[in-house]
Amino acid sequence: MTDPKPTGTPIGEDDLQAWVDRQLPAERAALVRAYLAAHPDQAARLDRYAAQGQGLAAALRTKFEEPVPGRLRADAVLARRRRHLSGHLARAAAVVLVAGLGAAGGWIGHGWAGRDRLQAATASAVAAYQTFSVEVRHPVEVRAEEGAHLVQWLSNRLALPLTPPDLAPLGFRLMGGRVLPAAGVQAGGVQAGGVPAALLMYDDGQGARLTVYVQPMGIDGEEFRYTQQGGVRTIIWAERRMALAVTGQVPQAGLMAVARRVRDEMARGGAP
Amino acid sequence: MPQAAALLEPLIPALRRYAFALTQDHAGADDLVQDTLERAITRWVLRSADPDLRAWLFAILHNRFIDMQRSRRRRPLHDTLDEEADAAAAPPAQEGGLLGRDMLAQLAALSPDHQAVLLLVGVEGMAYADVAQVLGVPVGTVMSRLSRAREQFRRLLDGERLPMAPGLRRVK
Repeated sequence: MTDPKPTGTPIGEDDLQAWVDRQLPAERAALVRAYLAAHPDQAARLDRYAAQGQGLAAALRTKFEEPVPGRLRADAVLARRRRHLSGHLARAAAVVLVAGLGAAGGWIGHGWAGRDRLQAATASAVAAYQTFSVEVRHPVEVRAEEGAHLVQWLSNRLALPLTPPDLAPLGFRLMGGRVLPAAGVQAGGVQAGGVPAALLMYDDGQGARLTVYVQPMGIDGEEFRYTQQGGVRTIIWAERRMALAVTGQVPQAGLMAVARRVRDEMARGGAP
Repeated sequence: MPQAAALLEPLIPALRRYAFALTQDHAGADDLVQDTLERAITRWVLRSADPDLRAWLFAILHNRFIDMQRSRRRRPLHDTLDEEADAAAAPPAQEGGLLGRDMLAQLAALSPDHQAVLLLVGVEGMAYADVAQVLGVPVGTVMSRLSRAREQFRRLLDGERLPMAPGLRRVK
């Protein structure tokens, strides 16, 4: 009832409901008031509805005024979450992304060539996000439910052991993954393509999606780099001879939390 | 996240009230609120900056409640015979019968969708746009549900029986 109606629009049921809730603009309220003065039966019905609302509120007042139990204090919830997370970290078995094992050769290292290739990978990651995150019917090729198959398939195609990171502590559930063609970009005279990339997609159950893009390439030791195009944000970095990018339409701090989690789990998984 | 606690804390009594009205079970309601707070804190950094915090929290709670209902629906909520017996035993609400017990008992006979709009609008005093956000439906749908819910609630309070069994109704 926030949209003002043109004068002359007949009184509707929506006006009458909004009258009960005092959510009518003043002009419209004046019209309804006049209408109700002329239609006492409608006025009685609305009075009844208002009384129902007040009755419900009264019935629930005790609950509202009840002291809040200790376990529902925000501080208590935060403390439990911290304990839960540290338990998570202690489980070294929860290795998530392992990469670069036995992948000798192809080392390019630091320097401009690596940076250019990271830039190309960022473009690929953003393009992949924009293409597939809007897919309703086929956002992924292999769904998360086929867990073992998904892991094996991605690992085979990328020629490195790849297990999707668990982002559940951040509220994101793995939907599945797909394989993408390698970014065929010439950078520093080196062909960057060859091995395909993987795109893992996650959703939060409320319509927000984000992707983790993994592209094997011979670069390493690139710190987080943040880019934004429109509402789409990406953080990309390189380690263990992979470019990794997280992309989504979520706040920057949130995306940073996702990137850290992906990197932390990799670091643990990849430790010798 | 010290600011999260400070922002969440004032909203907890209203969350408990809404959860209790939906579940009509004290312990179950607090479990639902606890679950909601845990999810809210987990997603805190991913929360878009603009939307109303209260609507965001109520949406999390509401979605959890609906999920729980779905998983429970495999078992019938009531035995049909029990329901008939209850209806026979419970005297219709009298003219002055706007007692809390009656109100809550009759509320429970409405579909969850109808309960939600009555509670969010009538008790929590939310703007229709916020209710639409909580329920994930357009404002127009909120309005039409509200109209139907109020009329059905009135009929229940007047002692009329609704044609459909509770819990089975899905109203778009």
